[in-house]
Amino acid sequence: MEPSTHQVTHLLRAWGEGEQGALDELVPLVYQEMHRLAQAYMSRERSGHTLQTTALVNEAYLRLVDSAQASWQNRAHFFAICAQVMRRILVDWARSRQALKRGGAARPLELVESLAVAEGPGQDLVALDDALKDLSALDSRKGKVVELRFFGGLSVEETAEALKVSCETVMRDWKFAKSWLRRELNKEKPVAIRTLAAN
Amino acid sequence: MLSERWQQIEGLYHAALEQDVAHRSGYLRQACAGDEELEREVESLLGQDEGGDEFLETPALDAAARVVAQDEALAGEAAGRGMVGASISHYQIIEELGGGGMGVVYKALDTRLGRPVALKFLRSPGLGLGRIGAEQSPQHQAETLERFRREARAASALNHPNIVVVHDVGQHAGQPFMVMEFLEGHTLKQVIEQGRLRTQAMIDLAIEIADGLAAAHAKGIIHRDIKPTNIFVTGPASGSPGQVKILDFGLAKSWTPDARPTGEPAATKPVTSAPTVTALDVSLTSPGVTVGTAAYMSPEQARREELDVRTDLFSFGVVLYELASGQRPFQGDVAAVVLHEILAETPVPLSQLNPRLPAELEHIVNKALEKDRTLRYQSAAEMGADLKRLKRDSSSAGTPAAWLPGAAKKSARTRIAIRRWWIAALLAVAAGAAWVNLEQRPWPIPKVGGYRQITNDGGMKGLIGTDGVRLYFYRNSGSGHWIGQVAVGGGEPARVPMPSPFFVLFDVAPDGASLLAAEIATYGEGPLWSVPMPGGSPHRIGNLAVSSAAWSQDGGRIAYAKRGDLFVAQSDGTAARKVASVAGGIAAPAWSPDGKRIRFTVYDDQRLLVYLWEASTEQRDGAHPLFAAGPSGDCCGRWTPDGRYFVFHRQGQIWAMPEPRRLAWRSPPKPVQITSGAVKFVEALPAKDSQHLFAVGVAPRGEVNRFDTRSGQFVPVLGGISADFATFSPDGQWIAYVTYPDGALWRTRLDRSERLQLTQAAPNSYVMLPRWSPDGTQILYSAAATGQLTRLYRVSASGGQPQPLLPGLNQVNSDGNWSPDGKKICFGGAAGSAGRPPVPNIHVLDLDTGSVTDVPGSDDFFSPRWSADGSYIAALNLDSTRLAVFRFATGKWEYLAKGTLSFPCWSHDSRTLYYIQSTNNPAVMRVRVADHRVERVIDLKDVNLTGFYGASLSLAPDDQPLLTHDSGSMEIFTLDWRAL
Repeated sequence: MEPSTHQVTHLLRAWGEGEQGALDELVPLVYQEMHRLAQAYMSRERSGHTLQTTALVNEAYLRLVDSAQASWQNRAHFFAICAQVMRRILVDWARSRQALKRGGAARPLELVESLAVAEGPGQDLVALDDALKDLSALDSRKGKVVELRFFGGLSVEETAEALKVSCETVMRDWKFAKSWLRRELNKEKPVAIRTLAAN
Repeated sequence: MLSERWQQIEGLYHAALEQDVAHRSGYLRQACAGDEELEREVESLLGQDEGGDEFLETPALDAAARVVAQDEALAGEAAGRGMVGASISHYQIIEELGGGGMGVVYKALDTRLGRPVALKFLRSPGLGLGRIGAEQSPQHQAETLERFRREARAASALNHPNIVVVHDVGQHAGQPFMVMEFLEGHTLKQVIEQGRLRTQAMIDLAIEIADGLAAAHAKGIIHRDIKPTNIFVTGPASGSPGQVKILDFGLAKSWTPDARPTGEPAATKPVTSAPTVTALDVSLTSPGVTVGTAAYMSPEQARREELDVRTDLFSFGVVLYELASGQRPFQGDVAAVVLHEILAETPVPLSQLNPRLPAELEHIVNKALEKDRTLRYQSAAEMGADLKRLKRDSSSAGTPAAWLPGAAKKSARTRIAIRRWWIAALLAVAAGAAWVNLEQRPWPIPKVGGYRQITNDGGMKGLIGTDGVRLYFYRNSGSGHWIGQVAVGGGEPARVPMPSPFFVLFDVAPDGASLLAAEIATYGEGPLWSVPMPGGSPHRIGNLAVSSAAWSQDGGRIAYAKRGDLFVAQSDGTAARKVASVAGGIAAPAWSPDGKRIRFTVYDDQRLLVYLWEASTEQRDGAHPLFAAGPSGDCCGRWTPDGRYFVFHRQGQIWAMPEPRRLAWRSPPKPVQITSGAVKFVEALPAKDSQHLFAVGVAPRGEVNRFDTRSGQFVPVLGGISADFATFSPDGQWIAYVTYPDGALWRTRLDRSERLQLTQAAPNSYVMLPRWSPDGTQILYSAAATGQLTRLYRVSASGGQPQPLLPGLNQVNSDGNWSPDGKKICFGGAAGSAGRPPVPNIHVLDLDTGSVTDVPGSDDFFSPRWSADGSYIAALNLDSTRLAVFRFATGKWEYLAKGTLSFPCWSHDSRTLYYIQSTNNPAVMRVRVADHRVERVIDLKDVNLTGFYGASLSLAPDDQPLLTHDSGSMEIFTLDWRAL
């Protein structure tokens, strides 16, 4: 069932006006669309055509939201939902692949290279998701910043817009949150220690 | 609601970040005012900050998509290769029959019908077999696949004894495959290579090819890729051939990169586009057009025009010409030259190459090779009819019948050909006496007329090969390595993209269409790949893992080395055979132009020996050193393409050895030095025209710099001295260094006063890794000299005779480090050397008792470093991928950091280890022992380092890193040479 742009726009506006129930209706609609786009995106990446996550979210926005009826804030809210949804999609995906890995199939899923972590222990999306939950419990805005930037692919400006804070705040939050997350991830998976029996 | 504590941590974190790195700890301590938990917390967060800022910067979806893409590529590869034993649909794979440009062929059992079949997996850009170059969109891929299916189905409908039967078409893990009847026999290529067939047998084969083509053309199916590898002959290769089976009908169309996605029926069509230079240029630069493919193309194919059945007749003419004469009518080292010949040149008349051929056969071939297709045979049936008449007439003997069209014209041409032969014969007789005298003498000694520099970037580089248009070289910056190319006439060098940063380049294919490379992460062996140029999907060569390799000059075979063993195999990696086995490692194999000999460089890391050897490709025990005089630092030889000279470098100059003009010679040939003077030349590479040599001109210089952590700038330490391995004395007043590149040990005060030379510079010997004793009175160092084991020596810092540390130890001992009390020395194998030391482990010498003990569990380690507090010995593991410490307190090893690591150095407080991280994001890094926290100290991405090992690292008394920057030059030159 294709959601109508009118429906999504209406729900977005309602949510923007503080109606929490609207979000519960919105998420499945966005999920469906994001899932389709994410899959299409992955096959594009596979064939060498890259597209930025931001462009993807914009595409979802154009498809789902009647831009004539939606306000600037609606757009920011929509992006926030997209990021949240994308997080769910990707973490589920990572989890299913971990299951595969445990089953001995495919090759080990470690996003080390892909996440371009210069050094340090391997990390994956599932561990990151857990750490991010902890961060959100301590400081929900920082959790949101990471969600929007890393899962939603939003720029600093777009993130600031979605959270109604200044760009500078977003950058400070981003920097601190990354340090905090990195430390947490390092804690969770200490560097493998191999000991050799003395002679 | 945020907790107060959290806000406090965040506030301090940002405030501390605004401080200088050096002042952060002090600032924090003060700001936390004794709250140690707070201090630790903020410090641990700050520590996360330095290790490269890419963390989380790539959006999750992009990262995930990349992982998926990598997996798919690997899965695709697995689907196409190494599937013996697997079941696909109802086919059980029995064995791999071979691989080639188009894909991999397996013998399989059709379990439903119980018959053997051949399964062919297709390789194509965009369908996933290759890991790079996959540039088709999903839609385009789907279209390609659909077109492949449609055409393969159409081809499978062909039912003719001279066309291979296609049973089925399928897809497995995204890879299309076709199921064909299983045939035993050889390709026509192999038949041609076996030597000339009897004329009668040849005509029989030609008639069958024509019949097969006629049957397909009658159904409107064009082959488009008729060549010897696509024509199968059942039965044994020599003797009387069996039946012809044309392979891969209908595939070329859906499969060529330039195929139009319309899939219109292949009927005869008028020429629609006029040939233009642009159209030609496009086809020449298309990736994947190899000489092997280009050689059989019709002129209209070369011009990328619409094709009709007559294209197959031209290609058939080329095949027939090659079958009759053993050589191709249109030749060239690169596809562009071949295509030019196809478009513009008339081939050498067949009768000149094989005078015994019936003149009618030459006529048939000539008519098939008409460049204007309206003058060519118009159908395979017409050509087949001429062939059949020829068979009838030549088997009934006698002179040609008068039925041949244009017989008069043709016999005139024959007469001219005969006259040419006579002239050639007369000339040969006239030259007779002189010839007999000359031919046993070697070729004259060449002289270098002049040279010209063709690169100008200063960096360390080595020449790999040339396709006649470009030179391929590797570029080493001390912290990383990449492959570059530059036009042979000079110009801007450009990077050649490689599938991974670990690709080590060995050779350029004789036709210039691909590069031979292995994926070797650190050193040792790695999987061998053929990487098409200028782009396309690289493919593995068999399952070979090699340390070095080269193609034969006809491209049909490869030689490859695994440490000290040299093998020869077919170019697809099959039929490997060992041809030599030596002590040490083998590098830079080179084939003689006739393919009968291979010369290679043997290196012995432990004794620093480099010398040339020669092996026969035909007999196993024929390997021997090239020069009886013994090792003299010879390296990296190559034959000129005309086979007249073998050039190599010896101690910084290029030498050439003329070949005798006949294989048997009376006295061994003597090499001659052909360069001299101030510029040192290494790495000689003969140009394709045999008139020039390319070589690397070297003027090495190393500038020792201290990295000022405060300003982020490098500051020169030794002024104008070209040095390597600079090391501060414990009191920080002196520096020991090794002159670069002559390798002598010196010491000096920081202001460069009281300089003193401590060892003599000698050719082919080099001092490495000097270490001050804790009391500053002695310097321990390793020295390597040609022909001798690398050993540790001690010399007084105020001068005197150096003494070997372990005179009685008859194995490599190097890379020594003092214990903090100066009473012991730990040492190990040959740190950083190009080959693996046989048993690297770490030993401790007690200077009081003279006893040597092993550090427990150190079998995997080298490059030991004793910490200043005496608690640890740090070391690298065998392949330099991990840094570990041995804790004396526990007697156990513990890994600290991974990557591609070198030159570990302890900070003066023994809490941190600095090291160079190479290849991936090159940098000076440091890792804290307590919590393994890794930080990036200096980004080395655009920094060129040098030294005996390509780089070196030590720490100033305040822990500021010292590095040796490359301030020398190493450029590629063209040398003109003339044989007098």
